[in-house]
Amino acid sequence: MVWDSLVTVTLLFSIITGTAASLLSFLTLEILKRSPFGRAVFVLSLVLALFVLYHVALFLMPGRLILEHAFKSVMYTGVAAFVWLMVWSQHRLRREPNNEVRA
Amino acid sequence: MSHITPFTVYNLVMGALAAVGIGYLVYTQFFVLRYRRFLFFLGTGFLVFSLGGPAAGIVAPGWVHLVHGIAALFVVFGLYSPVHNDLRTDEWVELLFRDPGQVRHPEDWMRPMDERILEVFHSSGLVLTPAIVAYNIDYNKKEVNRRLSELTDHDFVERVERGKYRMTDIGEHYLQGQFTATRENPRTEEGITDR
Repeated sequence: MVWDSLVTVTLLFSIITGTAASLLSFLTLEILKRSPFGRAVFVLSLVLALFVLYHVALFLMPGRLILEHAFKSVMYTGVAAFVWLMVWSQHRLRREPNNEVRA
Repeated sequence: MSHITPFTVYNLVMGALAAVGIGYLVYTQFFVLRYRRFLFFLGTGFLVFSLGGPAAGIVAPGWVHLVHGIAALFVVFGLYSPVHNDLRTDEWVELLFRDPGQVRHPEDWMRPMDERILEVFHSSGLVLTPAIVAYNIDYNKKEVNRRLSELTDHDFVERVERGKYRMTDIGEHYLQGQFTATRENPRTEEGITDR
């Protein structure tokens, strides 16, 4: 009983922090969408939205193991995609010859 | 160890992949002192999520949501700063808009030379003649004259008096990547997107 309550509390904690992170990522996307990092921040926003959905789904419908695993794997894939998009964006910024301001 | 499933292995691989990427990003940018806070929190958040999540899933599955929550908290701290500052600080502008051309959206009528002309106006902040602009960008005066007429028609520069021009707010917004000269509203204020 105590253990179940503890899991519920940690789930709620994840939902709250995930929602805050998700909102901030959408605000960041609004600012950076036309920058070289726009695509990466877009992926980050999707991943964080998925993060919130995952925890809400677990909170409302506990015990659907396959769905939980699939959801979780998509999230980890999204995080890896975000990180490597950031690496690619940064690499492109450094390598492209027209990065220097001309005037 | 009975908790190890193909999903767990896949998650661990993805987590390790993300961790390598984070390590690379932190390594290349960590010595830039001003990005440290942002990188530290965002990097830590993703490391906790990518490696801590799958690890907790194996060792202590009950605590995995706490690990997720802590990771999200780090991401909140990481993202709060740029959002709070609205990218107005010089270091962010320097990092993200090193080449503002990457965030500009030129229309069909524009030529690469137009940006060079606008950049001369921007860097000087003065009323200039076509001859001075042409001298600074190493172009023919006649061609600069032609482009200035086009830029004037589209309100990117304005004619102060005969043969003297200055850049307008629309031209300035375009240079900063905040103006989209779409076909629907090529010259109107609607083309200016607020940040």
